[in-house]
Amino acid sequence: MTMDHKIIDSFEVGGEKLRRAIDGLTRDELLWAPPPTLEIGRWSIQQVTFHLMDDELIWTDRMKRVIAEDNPRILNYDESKFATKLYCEEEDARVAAEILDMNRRQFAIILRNLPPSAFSRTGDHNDIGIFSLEQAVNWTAEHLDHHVYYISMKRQKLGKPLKE
Amino acid sequence: MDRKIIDEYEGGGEKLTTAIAGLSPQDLLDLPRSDAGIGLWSIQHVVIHLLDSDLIGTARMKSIIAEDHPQILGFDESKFAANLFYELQDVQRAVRMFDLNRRQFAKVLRKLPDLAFSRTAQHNERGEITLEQSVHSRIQHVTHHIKFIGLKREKLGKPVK
Repeated sequence: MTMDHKIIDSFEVGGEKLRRAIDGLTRDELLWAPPPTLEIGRWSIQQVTFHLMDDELIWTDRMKRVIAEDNPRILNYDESKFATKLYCEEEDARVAAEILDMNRRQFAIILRNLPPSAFSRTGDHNDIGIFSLEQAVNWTAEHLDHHVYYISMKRQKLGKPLKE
Repeated sequence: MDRKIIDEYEGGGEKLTTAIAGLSPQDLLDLPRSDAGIGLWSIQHVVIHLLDSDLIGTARMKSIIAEDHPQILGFDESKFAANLFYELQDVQRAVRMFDLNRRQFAKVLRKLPDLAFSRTAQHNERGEITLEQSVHSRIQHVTHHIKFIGLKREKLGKPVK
């Protein structure tokens, strides 16, 4: 199979997208919990940012196992419990975005050096089942884009739209 | 629960930064002779290994805090070191990331009540582990490897100041 390396480019710049998405927001704006009736997600931008960092680090661990080990077992985690029990409201969202950014740039080095065949390597997830490295890279990139889109919707409601 | 362990955990990144200060890319990638008795990995391999291990360790501790007695899986550190291009990764960024991640997670640890440090997980190789044991294990892991970085530096003629 051939891996489209544009996916790696898109993966690598995810951290930059997130940093831009939260730029210029006050603490109150970051912590604003949208009312459910708005249908733009119930988490604050702060919770979304920490969720992205936590999820990013977990998925990077999974992808490293898929590359280095043979069809490793992968276990799910409870993202709602992570979002509510790790005191993210009191932390600095910019630090979370910076960790995610550094992690993506570092992991992109690994992805760029892999032979095309490595992207067919698999892991065995206890909920999802068998998945490939290529799927995992795509999901991780799409997951961030999905949440950045919702951050932009929240920013519009806050009267601070994301600058293009 | 001695809360000083959180300070020690947090300071690990600074220790690692100091441990590799002043080394050239060649120094970092130098492979010790197998008969030198100071480990077979280059200093760069050790640093990237510490980052990989610490990121997994942080994810485990988050699971222990947020979930109820989660199951956690060991990883094959030799296969990670052999298959993840440790020699091509950015070692300075790895140290910055290690440091920032520890500082960030130390804030979470400081907010926890003492009781939370008795929370447990089931490790597929080590059995039941507590959060407190996990924090200790992170501290010891860095201390162990920094000692070997120190020995490797001596062999390179660039001892830690």
